[in-house]
Amino acid sequence: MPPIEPNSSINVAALYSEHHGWLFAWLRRKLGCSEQAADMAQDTFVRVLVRDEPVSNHAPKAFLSTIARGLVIDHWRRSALEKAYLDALAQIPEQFYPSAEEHHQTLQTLEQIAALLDCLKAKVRTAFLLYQLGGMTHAQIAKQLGVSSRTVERHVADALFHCYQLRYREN
Amino acid sequence: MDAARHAGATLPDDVVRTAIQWRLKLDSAEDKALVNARIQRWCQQQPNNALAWQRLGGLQQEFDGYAAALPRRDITIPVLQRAGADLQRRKALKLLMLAVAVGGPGSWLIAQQPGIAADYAAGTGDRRRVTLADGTQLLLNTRSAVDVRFSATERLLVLREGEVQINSTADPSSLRASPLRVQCQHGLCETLGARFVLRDQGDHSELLVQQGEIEVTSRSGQRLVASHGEHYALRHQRIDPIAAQQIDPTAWTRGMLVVNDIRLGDFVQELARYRSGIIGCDPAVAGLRLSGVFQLDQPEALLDNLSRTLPVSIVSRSRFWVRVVARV
Repeated sequence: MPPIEPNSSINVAALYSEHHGWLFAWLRRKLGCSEQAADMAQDTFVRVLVRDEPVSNHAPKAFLSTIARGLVIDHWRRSALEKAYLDALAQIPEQFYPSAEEHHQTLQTLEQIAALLDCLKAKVRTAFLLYQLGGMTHAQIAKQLGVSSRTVERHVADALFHCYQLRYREN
Repeated sequence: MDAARHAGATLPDDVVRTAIQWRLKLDSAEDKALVNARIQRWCQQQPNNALAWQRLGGLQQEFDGYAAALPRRDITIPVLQRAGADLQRRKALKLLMLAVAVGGPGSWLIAQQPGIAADYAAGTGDRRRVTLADGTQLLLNTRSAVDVRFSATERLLVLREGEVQINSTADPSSLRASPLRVQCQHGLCETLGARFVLRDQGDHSELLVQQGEIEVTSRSGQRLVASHGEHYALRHQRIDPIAAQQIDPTAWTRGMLVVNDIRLGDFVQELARYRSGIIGCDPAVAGLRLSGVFQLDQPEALLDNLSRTLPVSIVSRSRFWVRVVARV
């Protein structure tokens, strides 16, 4: 972790004491749980600390809430996946249950995939998942979704374009 | 891969789009060698083309890695679909919270009212009591969440998920200016003072009035007044009375689970709400029936109890995976 320069644009300790209050309250409203909100407020400042770049003094509130919002969405994504996965497992016979280790691994992989596909429309996401991970052809997906093959192809292309932008056009 | 990811130029969109078209063409090609040769020619035309193609290859590798790490894709792909939809709903919730019934029956309009928003939630196995600014008391059951939207002119609660008991009879002498409105996904309950339980069951919601009167409106606009002791199922299209109760709808407020002649499968499903992890019931025993009074704060003891009263055994792989099966 780089040391905080005394003349850097903003001091994290000052940032903390000035902004922790509203950030915690905001997170608690979002999450409905004080404990989680406290953890996440902490995480937000940790993110600030481990950043390579100094924090500019310009609009610190917007800066902090952008980080915190990202953490909240990560949290929601994780809990949505956990819940959907447990629900799905409940439907299968017990002998097929994964070990705790496999369970954890699978959830991590699911999280990575989900984060990549977050902002896609439901149909685009579904078409892409069935194509890329399900190994289905455009025609098979078209039949399942009740749309034309051309539409499926467009969905898959849009999803790929979206992933490309996330990976190669950040910043 | 990370270094390559951030290195280099931003490519024009049309180059990336063309590379994607090539990728899809190659995937579905009968003669892959032929298409590959054409792609190579395209790449040689422009350094940008080659870079776009190379980056798509990196993306493909990333997905191949995921595919290799993901077991049971028959299960995990639907999980991704459902969770994705769930997350989008959550992100959109801010908007939903502003959806307030204004005016006549069935007019679900978006009303932007400045107010103080607060969320309350209870986790698995928890019961949480909350007293709101106007004295209204909430008791949230396990895995439940309520949004509170109070302003100078309105008192609105939104049941996001789960089950809540609401008691707004605290001070009958003071006539409040505005009724208390409680919105669930299937309709709206309005009251000037009542005690009632509202539960979101997914495809419908259940309302049980313990005291007072409630005006209920379904999303389609059907409206009726529910009074003391009445129990209704709210669906988008209509409101139906519930006659037989296999699960006592208010017992949980006293920390009990009271069931009467319930199928074991339904009982296990109800119990699952109060435990973390998953609990399943073998179809062979799901039809067994039971009645009884159980303590909710000890779901594990409750499970053990089952094997003493019914011809079943409890198989547990871990704390998180438990299954009720026929006793051998």
